[in-house]
Amino acid sequence: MRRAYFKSSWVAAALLAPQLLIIFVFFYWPSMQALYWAFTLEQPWGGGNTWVGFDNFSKTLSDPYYWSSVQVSIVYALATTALAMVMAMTLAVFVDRQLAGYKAYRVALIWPYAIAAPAVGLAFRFVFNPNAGILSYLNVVLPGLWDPTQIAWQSVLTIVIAGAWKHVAYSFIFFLAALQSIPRSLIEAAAMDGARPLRRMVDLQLPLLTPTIFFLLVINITDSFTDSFGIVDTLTGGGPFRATDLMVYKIYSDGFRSFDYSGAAAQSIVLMLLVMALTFVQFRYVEKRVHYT
Amino acid sequence: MIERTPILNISTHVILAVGLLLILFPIWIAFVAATHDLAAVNSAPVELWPGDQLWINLTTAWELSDFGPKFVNTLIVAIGVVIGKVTLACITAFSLVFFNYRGRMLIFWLIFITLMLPLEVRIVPTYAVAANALSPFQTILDITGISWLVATLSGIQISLEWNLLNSYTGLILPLVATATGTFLYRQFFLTIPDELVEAAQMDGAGPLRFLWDTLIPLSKTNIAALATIMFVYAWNQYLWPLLVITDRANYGMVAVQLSDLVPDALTTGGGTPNWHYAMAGTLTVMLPPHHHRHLHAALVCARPDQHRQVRRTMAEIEIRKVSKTYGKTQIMQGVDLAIEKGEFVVILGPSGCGKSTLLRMIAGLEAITSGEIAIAGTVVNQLEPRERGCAMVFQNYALYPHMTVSENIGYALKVAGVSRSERAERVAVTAKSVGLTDFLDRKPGQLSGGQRQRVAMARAIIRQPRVFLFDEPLSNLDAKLRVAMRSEIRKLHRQFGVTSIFVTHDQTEAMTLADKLIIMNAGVIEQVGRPTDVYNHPASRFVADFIGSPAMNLIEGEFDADGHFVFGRGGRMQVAQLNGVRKPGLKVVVGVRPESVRRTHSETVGAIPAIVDFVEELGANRLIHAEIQGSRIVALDTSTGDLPTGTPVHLALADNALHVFSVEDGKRIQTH
Repeated sequence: MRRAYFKSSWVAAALLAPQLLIIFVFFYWPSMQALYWAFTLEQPWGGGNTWVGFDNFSKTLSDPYYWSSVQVSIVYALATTALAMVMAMTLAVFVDRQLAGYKAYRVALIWPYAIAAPAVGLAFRFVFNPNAGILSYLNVVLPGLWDPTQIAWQSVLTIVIAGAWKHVAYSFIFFLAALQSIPRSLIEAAAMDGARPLRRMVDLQLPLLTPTIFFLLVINITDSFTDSFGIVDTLTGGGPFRATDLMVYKIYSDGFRSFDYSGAAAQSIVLMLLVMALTFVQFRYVEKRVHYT
Repeated sequence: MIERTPILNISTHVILAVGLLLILFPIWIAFVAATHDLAAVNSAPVELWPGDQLWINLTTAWELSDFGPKFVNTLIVAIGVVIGKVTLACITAFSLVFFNYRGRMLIFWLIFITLMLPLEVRIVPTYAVAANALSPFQTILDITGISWLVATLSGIQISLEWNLLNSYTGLILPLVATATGTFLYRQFFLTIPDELVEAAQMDGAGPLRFLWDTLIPLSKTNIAALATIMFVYAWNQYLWPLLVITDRANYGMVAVQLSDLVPDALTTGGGTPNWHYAMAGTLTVMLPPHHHRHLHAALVCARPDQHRQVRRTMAEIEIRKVSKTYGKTQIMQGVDLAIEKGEFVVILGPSGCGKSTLLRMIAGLEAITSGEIAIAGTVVNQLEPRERGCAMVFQNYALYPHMTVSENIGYALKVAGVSRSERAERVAVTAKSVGLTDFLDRKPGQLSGGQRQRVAMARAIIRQPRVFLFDEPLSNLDAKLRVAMRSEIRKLHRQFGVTSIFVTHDQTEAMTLADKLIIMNAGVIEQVGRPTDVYNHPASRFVADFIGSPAMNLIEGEFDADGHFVFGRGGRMQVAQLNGVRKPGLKVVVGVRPESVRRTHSETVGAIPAIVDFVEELGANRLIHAEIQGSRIVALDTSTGDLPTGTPVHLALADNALHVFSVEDGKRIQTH
């Protein structure tokens, strides 16, 4: 517990003020606004909003499009997370062996983190495009076999691959840092105990990585809800036929294309609760995180 | 790293190369597409090798999208976000950590919650606020009645309207309004010790002064990491600028501009998209990977210091001409050493002398540059650590934190495939021999330092190794425990009789434990011998100086024509045992231990006059620090009575206790 503090509280207040102000205007105010809209409905010909209670929510929750959006969001979240983490962990474990040239691998493997989502989306849209992309060969053999712009599951597959690709880098950084924070002497002790590299991975590194795995699991799932907009917008535009209409994308299109603020606000509230719950779980866990020492 | 077999190395490289290919493949395809003309890009076999159209495609894409001003805009926004975020985060965290005021926790939570809801999730209402940025204040004024009051008193209607659409402010401020950086700083500030704050307060520094002079210089790594993350974050913004910027010509950002190069996602069936321009644009917008190294470094710098020392026991160890170089630095030069079966050998030396490296080379954890190590007659240079029959106790114990004590002790047996029942039996026996029976189900985290030490020992014992290696195993214990563990290690050695090598920098430890003492300095063995021999007959000036407390007196001088030792400002002394080597003009160092320097009377033959400098009381006796003819000398004295500074005394050096070393190479030149 800290025991040494400065006294002048006006300095403390002055230092806090800018952050509090900016958070109030751009965080708390909009959040309250969202709540207000979620429980009201704008009248078509002006004249302010009328209180409608839970109408917006029940309308949203009884909308089959909403549920298909939730469904595809969950598929996207789980698939990108699993793909990205398995890939990142495998690579990190091998980069951690520190052979010659590992620094070059390290730099290359974290590059995707710095690339903008729309750039990723566009690049993958080209890579997977049915006429000129790498899978266009399939269409030469059997026309129409590969077309993510028409076939729903292929469209989902492309955003999953693009999303996972972008997330490998982030997980990789954390896995590598966690691996490198395992004291070298532990690995050496295991080597003296006769455990070979693979055995050491299973018996030592994997168990010691569990806190990191959990942390990344939650972070990746949360990010897949919030960070997917750029990829979806440039890669599929939510299509075909709403097959890749992820929750954030649906909020955007309902709010800004259909101008249904109330519906979008209700959906925002649901997504907010979901993301908050996930983050809460994460911080609870991080607080209690297994400290071995 | 340990195992370096070609097969392992090759398979590691193969796996990494495949991973690298997967990661770089889309970027490569995009790059190739940007180097061809449209016909080549759109024909069915996808191009895998670059063409020659790159420059044309880049310039065309640049013009089509009018990228120039967008780059400037993006840079302005990114720098704005970086500056805003770094500054805000720093002062906010400072206020939260270094001040104590009521409601601090509430404010902490108010800021903390913003972490839970990224901009994308609250995009609709945030946009509405930006579209009329001052409406929150208007509402406050209205609700509190201030508007009414002002209007009534002065007749002025307050109407605050400020639109953030199509402005840098509108782009930057909402991106700054989350608390990621605040928490990065807070975590760092919490590691600043109280003493630093107190020292600043004693020095009369106020909070702002402390922030500026101490905290900001200390948090350079944080600033660099946060700046990198925020730059990447702002540069890649897509959704937010897509909404708030309708005037793309003047305020557009690069990521948004990209999508203009390709028609809407679903309409690709109709026209043929200009993929070559689109990919050229995509390349332009990508941040190069080196921007990223800072972030990586910041994350990885948390790597704790690694202890790399190994001990092993063996029937007989022979070290022949072993050298070790790191790059161009030679850290061990031609070490020769033989260790007999059952011996307890202690390697003693100052830090950095190469003693741990030597131990680790014996264990197989460190490669040998040249030379040979043989254990029980077998050259082990090419053997893996597990094949050498050594067990090691590490300085930090290196216990597996997620396993219980019994799992820790039994791990080597488990790896070796010993059956569960036999394992349990042997663990129980071993645990009993080190007194751990009651702690078998605990995790290392629940043990005291001494108990952890015992687990580390048990783990080594259970394997019945040929050699025990101890790498400064006692240095993490308190003084009392260290003495106790010392005698326990001695006892275990008597009990099992296993050859042991023990590395330490503590001479008491070394003197009490060793059958054979090895003194190392700067990668060279200075002396090998029984502890008393090393003490009584140090082989070099370094050993003489290093062993013994209080340290030996060392006086530099030379022999004159009469065979007297001349030193300092006219000091002169007979050195009896040196017949034959007393060449006139030979420069030497004469050493004498404080206990061989007596206080005596002026009439005594050979008495040297000295002036008392100060006296150190040790209780049973005392140390007189004195000056003789400009040289300093320490004498162990058993007499009593006041000896104030400046008192003239006479000192006599015991004749047979003088050590003489050559100035030239530091070697001992006299025997007696």
